[in-house]
Amino acid sequence: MRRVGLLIVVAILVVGLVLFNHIMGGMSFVEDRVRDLNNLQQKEVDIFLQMNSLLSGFATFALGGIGALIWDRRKAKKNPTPQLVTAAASSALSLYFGYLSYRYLLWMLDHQFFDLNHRVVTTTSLLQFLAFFISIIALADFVLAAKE
Amino acid sequence: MPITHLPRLTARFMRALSTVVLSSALAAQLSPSGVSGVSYQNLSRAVANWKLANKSSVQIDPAATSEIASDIASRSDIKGQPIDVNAWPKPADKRVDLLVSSYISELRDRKYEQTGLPRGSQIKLGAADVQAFSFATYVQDLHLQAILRDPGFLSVTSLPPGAAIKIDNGARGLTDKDFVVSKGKHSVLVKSDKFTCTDGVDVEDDPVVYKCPK
Repeated sequence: MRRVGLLIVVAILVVGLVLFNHIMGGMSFVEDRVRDLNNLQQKEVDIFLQMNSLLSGFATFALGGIGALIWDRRKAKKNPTPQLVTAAASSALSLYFGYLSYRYLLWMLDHQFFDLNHRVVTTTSLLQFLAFFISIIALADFVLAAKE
Repeated sequence: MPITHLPRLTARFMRALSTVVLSSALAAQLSPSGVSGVSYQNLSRAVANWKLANKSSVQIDPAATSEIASDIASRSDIKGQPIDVNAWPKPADKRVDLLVSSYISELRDRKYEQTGLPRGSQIKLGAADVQAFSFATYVQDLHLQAILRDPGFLSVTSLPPGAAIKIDNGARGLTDKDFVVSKGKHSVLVKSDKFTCTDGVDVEDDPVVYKCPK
């Protein structure tokens, strides 16, 4: 029964992500066409990519740690707690949104425009951060609950 | 977010969901070869089903129904392959219903937008409406919406240059200028002391140059 529930949650998540991608891709926009990036814009790209890879690195690290915790609990024949599951799913989502925002940046440059305030980029990077934030909160909750 | 926006957002969500489902169904089921298999009877039934399901105030001209039938019968998908509904897994009829129903809903929405009439008012879909937004265009849109769409290019020029540009009601600097825009319709306004031009432009695969005065 738990397996079925998990499959349903995964299916809903996949449909949600496909829809998200679809809505993002279908948004109407107008941007100035640029042939070359100026120095300031290149700096913006560098900063954006640094933040993106930093968050992706943290999320990967968190996912590894959560995986170890879940493994440890399995060895003790205990099921993962909801906090751990939430933390793992949020970390994975954070990685996914990080990848999306990176892809959107490439898509933008590929089509000769540049606007880091474009909705597809701001939305995906915000979601990357929020998902990571939720993951950390859930992990902290698990640690605090374990101490009590 | 105001709670009053919820119905609109829900409608948008449902529309996006149906588009994803339909485009996935199309991508999976368009046959690489074969002949078209939609009969007029099948289509009339699909149209009747749509009217029944929607209890609609929308009338559909028989000429529009045959226009859709001939459109489906003659069309090919965007890879240049004919649609072979007979090759679809059974029950193919339900899939025809689904596609046609979604297409007619789209036609209805466009008609309401064009006429400016409130939803629920009596309208009639004619052959001209089908010709203006064919089934082929609809299917192509479905395919395109399934992926991150490539944008289009729009150049706005004027003589003399230096006129103010507004695109989709947003100030966009002075002419002459090049833009990258999402594909589809955009409103362009070019204004100076000497002239004003305003138009809707449709940006698709080819770059569009908007000149003012024309």
